Amino acid sequence: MFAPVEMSELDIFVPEGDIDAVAEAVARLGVVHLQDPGSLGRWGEGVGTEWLGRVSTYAAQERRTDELLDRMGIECVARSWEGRLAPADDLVAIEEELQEIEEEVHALIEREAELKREIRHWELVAKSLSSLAPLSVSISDLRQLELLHLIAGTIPTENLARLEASLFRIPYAIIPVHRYDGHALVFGFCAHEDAPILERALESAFLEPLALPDELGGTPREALAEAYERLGGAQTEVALLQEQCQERFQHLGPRLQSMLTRVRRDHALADARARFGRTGEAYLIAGWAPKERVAELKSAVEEASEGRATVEERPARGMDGRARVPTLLKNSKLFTPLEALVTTYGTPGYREIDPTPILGITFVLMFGSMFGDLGHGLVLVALGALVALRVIPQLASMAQMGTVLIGCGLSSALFGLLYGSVFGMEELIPHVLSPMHDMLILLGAAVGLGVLVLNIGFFCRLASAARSRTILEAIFDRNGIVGLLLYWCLLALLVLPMVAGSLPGWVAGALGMLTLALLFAEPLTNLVTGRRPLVHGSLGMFLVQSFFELFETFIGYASNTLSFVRLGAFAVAHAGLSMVVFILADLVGSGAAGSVLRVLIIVGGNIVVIGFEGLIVAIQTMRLEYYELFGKFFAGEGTPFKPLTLYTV
Amino acid sequence: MVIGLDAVRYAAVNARVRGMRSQLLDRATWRALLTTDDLASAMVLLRTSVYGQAIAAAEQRGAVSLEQVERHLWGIVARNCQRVMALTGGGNRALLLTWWRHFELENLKAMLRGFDQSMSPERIGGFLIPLGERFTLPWDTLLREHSLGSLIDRLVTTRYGSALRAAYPLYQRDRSLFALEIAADIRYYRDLAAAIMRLRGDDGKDARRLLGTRLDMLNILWAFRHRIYYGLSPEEIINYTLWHTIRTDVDLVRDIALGDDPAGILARVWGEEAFDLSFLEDAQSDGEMMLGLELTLHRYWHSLATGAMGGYPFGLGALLGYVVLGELEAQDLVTVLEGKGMGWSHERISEHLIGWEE
Repeated sequence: MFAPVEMSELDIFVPEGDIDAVAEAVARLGVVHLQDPGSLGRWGEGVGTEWLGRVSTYAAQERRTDELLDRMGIECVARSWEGRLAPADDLVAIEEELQEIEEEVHALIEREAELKREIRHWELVAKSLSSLAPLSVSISDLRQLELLHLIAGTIPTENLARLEASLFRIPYAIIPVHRYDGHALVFGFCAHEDAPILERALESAFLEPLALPDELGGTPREALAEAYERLGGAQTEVALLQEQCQERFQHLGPRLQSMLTRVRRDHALADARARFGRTGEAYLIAGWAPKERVAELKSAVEEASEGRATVEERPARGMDGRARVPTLLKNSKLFTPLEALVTTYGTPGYREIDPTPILGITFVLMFGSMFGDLGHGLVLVALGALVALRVIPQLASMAQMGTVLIGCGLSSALFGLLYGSVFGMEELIPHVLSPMHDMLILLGAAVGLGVLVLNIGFFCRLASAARSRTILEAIFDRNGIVGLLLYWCLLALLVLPMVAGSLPGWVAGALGMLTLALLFAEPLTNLVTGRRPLVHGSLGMFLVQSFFELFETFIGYASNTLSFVRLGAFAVAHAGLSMVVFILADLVGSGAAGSVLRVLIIVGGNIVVIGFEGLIVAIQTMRLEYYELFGKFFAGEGTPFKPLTLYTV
Repeated sequence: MVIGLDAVRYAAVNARVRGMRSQLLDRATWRALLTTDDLASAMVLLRTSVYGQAIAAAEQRGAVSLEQVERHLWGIVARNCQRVMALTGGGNRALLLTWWRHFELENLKAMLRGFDQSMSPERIGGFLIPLGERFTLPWDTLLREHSLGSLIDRLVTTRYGSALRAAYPLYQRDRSLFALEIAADIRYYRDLAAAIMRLRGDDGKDARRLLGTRLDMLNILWAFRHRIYYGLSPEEIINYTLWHTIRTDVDLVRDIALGDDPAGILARVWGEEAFDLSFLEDAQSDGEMMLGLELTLHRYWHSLATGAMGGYPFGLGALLGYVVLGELEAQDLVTVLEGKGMGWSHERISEHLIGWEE
């Protein structure tokens, strides 16, 4: 708690013959965050670019597998695959298998598409024949019209207007007889001598000719019956093929799903190999691992290489050479959900304080104080439980936030008991402190809480400095020792005259000394840390700059403290908003309808208060955390710990 | 007030686009490129410019070929277009995305050609402009299709699906890609016209001036090409040109199809004074006339883009201006590299450049 997991810096030296096995063992354990090849020195020079090519090929194979599963109508989920990974050679084996499956699947899908086209063809033939059905002439007579040239076919509907505009040189008639899926079945007529012009125009408008098959004879009605028969035949054939596809896909699907796991694992290993150092026939896997897992890692590496690989372990510093030690947060289950709120601001540096537990306590406390209502709090608890228990599948990914909601709800409920408020009703339970009537006490208490939170910020700054061994830099810092003492003196300056009636002389003396110390913070810090020169630039400029910085510091202390007044102000606003809901409810008329309307207004008003005001209060709480508290000590410039892992189903 | 709002919307975007424009090649580099002795020296010079990564990327596939360098050059232009797109939102972003898709269209046509010639997936992949994975078609899987027919079936759910499906019977009959390519072109440019027309106000004017002009240019060039190179009938020319553009219409296309000359057509669309038409007098053949017409229209487009970059700064014009200038610069680079590859003199190459003036 309060500090990230302790890391060890590792160098794993592996002979070429064992690199695949060791890489897989390291990835299976999932505890090593790899260093960037740029920080590997001479080992980095041997990093080959061939692995980058393999990474993109594996990515392409993964996409193709996904796509193939999608085309087969099989859920794109991976299945377990157990086997030895060889990312350099697997590429070819996977490619062969993938191509074989692709060819089979494509052939089946192509055949199905062909049959569907045949069905569409017979449907259109039937459609055109049904337009001609009332005619008692034979089909062969229609094929040999004496004066007119007739073309039948389908054309994209959007091309019809353009087609008609293009036919400006000849008399013609285009008759659409059936429209479907953005297409139209048309009959085109013109004089025989104009046929070439009409035909070229229709072709360029992408007309697909629909010739009546030669084997169809007799009257249109007889031909229509024949066309329906052909249509039925094609439909039966496609149904049979679909059954065959289903059977094959059931067999091929699991193979592809297992392949997906294999491809993803090879992809991860290839990506890692692109970051392994190399000289001659030896590889270097450099990175960091949690100290408590190093023994386990060593034995896994030893086992995979049969003792030929060696692991060198060193304690990790804040910055190892050019690389930054990654940060792995470790908090109790109660605080883990709040890590997301911390990392939204920034990842704590390896040598920084992890502010998650502090945020956990202050967030819940401040939220509750602004949103104090027993009923509203319990509603939040219920909503939080629904989210945390994954009752609503759509919100399952936010399950951790459910825990935060439960904490905030409980805090609101407790403050609700203090304020004597239940769903905005202030007469149901007794109150200890009423936001509407004890406003000044509430605002004073809010500032008091702010002073406490700011003091926590000062102490965290000092603890962070101690962890990163920069305590000397923190002595004269505005948020360090001098800053903290100055802040206390300023508080004494305000509080003691009110409480004791006078200001002790030592307070004034200390205030003067500390102000001077802060004014000359830069040279004093340089003096104690041994850095020279004491002052950068001209003395005049330094004094002007220091004066304004000092001024800003005083303003900052005042504004940071007063910023917490909002805790009280929002508690008052919450009570006021609830009161408005009841005033509105009282304004509606009497009688049955009035009572129903009154209930609706009270329920609706409470929903608005919980949703709308709850959101605003959450934002205000975040603001206080990020600006007033984190701003004191938290840089958040760390690198999150992302270990090399193998995909698991 | 409007200016104030525009300034808020576009100030940062404009500054960044101007920063990106400063990365286009300067006159000194162009002069140096033109005066290099051969293709190899031109490549060496280009390697030191922002386009150096195109050569580096081409090298990853082994020996550097001009073809590879060119496709990576277009890849850089496409990426820059995406960068501009990322700075915008709403209708402007939709327009830039649609414009960006013409790279996708080029890839699609390259793929159709590859399948037509029964090339291997790897070989076809070598002709595709690298576009990344966002916003575009699943190239990896499309490459694995069995045949042109199955590729078209596979594309059925995309915006090109129905257009290609409709043109496929013509391909099957003639074994010519002309119908398929023109169908894909018409489909794409219909989307572009719609995206342009959706924009209102000053942004709409900018879009019509810069990208709308491109539609007009293409329609005129296509109509002349269909008549001169392919000998198509007036009906076919009308059906194989664009229906929705800004300044051209079916009457204009019909007149081109029936034999009108470029001077009259350009005067009808852009006025008598818009162009220097001396190329028409110098042209010895229809081919030379077409080259001159193409160059004249592209230079006009270049001047519009340059004007947009120098004009009112708080609008879409500057963004589109940069996108167009970047694209024309790449086109000129391709001309220089191909010219050098064929051993042309620098004067001869200069004659074919769009953005270069001595």
